[in-house]
Amino acid sequence: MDETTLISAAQRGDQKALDQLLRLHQDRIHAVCRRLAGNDADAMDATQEALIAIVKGLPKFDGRAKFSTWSYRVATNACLDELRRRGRRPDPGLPEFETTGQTPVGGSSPRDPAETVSARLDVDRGLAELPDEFRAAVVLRDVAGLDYAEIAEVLDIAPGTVRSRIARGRGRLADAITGNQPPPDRRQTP
Amino acid sequence: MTDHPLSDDELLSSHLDGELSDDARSRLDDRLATDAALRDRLTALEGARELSATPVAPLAALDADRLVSAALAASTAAGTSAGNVTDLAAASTRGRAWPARAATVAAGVLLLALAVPALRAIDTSDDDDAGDASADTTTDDGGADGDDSAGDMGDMALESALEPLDSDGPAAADEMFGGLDDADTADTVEAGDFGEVNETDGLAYSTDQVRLFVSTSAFDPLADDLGAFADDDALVLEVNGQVAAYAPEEPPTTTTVAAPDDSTAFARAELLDIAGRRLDGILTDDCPDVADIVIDFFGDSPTEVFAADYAAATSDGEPVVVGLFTLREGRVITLVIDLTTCELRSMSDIDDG
Repeated sequence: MDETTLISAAQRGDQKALDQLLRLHQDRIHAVCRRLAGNDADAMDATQEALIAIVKGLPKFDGRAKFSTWSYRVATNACLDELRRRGRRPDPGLPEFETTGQTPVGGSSPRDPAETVSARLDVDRGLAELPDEFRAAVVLRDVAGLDYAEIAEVLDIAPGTVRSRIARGRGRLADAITGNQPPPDRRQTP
Repeated sequence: MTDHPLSDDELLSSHLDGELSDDARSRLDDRLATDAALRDRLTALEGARELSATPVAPLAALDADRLVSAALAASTAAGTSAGNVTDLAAASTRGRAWPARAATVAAGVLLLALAVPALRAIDTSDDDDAGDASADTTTDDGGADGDDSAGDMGDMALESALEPLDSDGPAAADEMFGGLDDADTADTVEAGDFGEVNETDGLAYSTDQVRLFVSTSAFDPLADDLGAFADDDALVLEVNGQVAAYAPEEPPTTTTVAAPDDSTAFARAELLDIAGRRLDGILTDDCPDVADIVIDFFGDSPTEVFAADYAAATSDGEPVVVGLFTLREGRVITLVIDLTTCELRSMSDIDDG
């Protein structure tokens, strides 16, 4: 069953189709929520809220946007809303050794720490320092792999704003990595 | 295209993403060929991109199952009609190794559906502070783009995903209690204790968070013993009927309280207290702590409960306790707890009918 058929069936109340549709998309939605939330526990809760939001919103999905784009929009909003309801910023947990291939102190390191930027700054701690709107744009680009036009659609902002937010988010991360003070926001001279 | 000159970071970051026009990329390449500082910055931004793109481990199979199951349960809950009961025992089979989490998820399923419209009521109230508090996102940078879409995101989520749940609002609670006038709430709330008070639809909310627990000591729509029923569907149908027929001669006595430091703990204590009073003589040695099951069900959100009642019954030959809970924005849910197995066996949302 292709995705369009799955969506239609799920909208008609076919629970098996809905199950299949959610399973098709939950990993990428969890990935976005994981980076937005900053730790595993909050990410699970946020993903849960996101999936529920998708289920609730599915009857309104009209197919004008790609389902992936629409679901990213619902998921991103649900994740951020869940974090806001908790009234806190992303709470970075322990460094993410399992996904970077690193091991905690005392263990053997399968990779040369100098080879990876992640060795110098934990990704969650870095992203946690970004304002929500910067973090969302960066995550949608670098984790979800959306292009600027798609991110603009997801976040309902102009593509130029997407460009600005990603650049500023990455700029802050870069400054954190290098230990630099943020540079002045220089504009290119014409 | 942009209508202002791009900063170097914007140029470089867009370059990394392949989002520059051919002309802009050509001009940037020329600059990079002669500007060592710019090349260093490009390297730094590339490192930032590498960091933020650190892969996220796929969900474990068990977690994936639980997430989907809970979302499907939400779908069922949203689509239920009166008497349509979610069989928790069947729904949570795959999650038994994670009972506390499953209970929280189950609560989340229901409470998301039930609580968000209440939050929305706060957001859309006349008190701007309330909306700000609910959807506050601190940004330390005004930003060249100058938009406020961070605050809009929460609204978008509600609009796009949960609007169907917003049709009822607090009407059901008002009908059930004959409406709560301002005096019922304002007289008992000390704003300074926990932040600015927002009164919406006869109910009171804290603007910091939803942190009020309103208990109604006289809330008692259910007979103490409901009798014997063929199954939970029939039992819930009877509960629905008794709730619909509930018409107290006088509005219930309301006690509005706030626990600014730990309202969750307070709400849990209130739930325990109500259960202790209403379940006296009902509980069995096999299941002496029904209230704990209820509290597990409501997980992190016991503050959403507006009032509670309990009754004894027999369903499908098994002794059960029925818990009836009204949520802040008016929805009413019923939990059926098996006194033999001491497990939550079904839940229903009678407001959907």
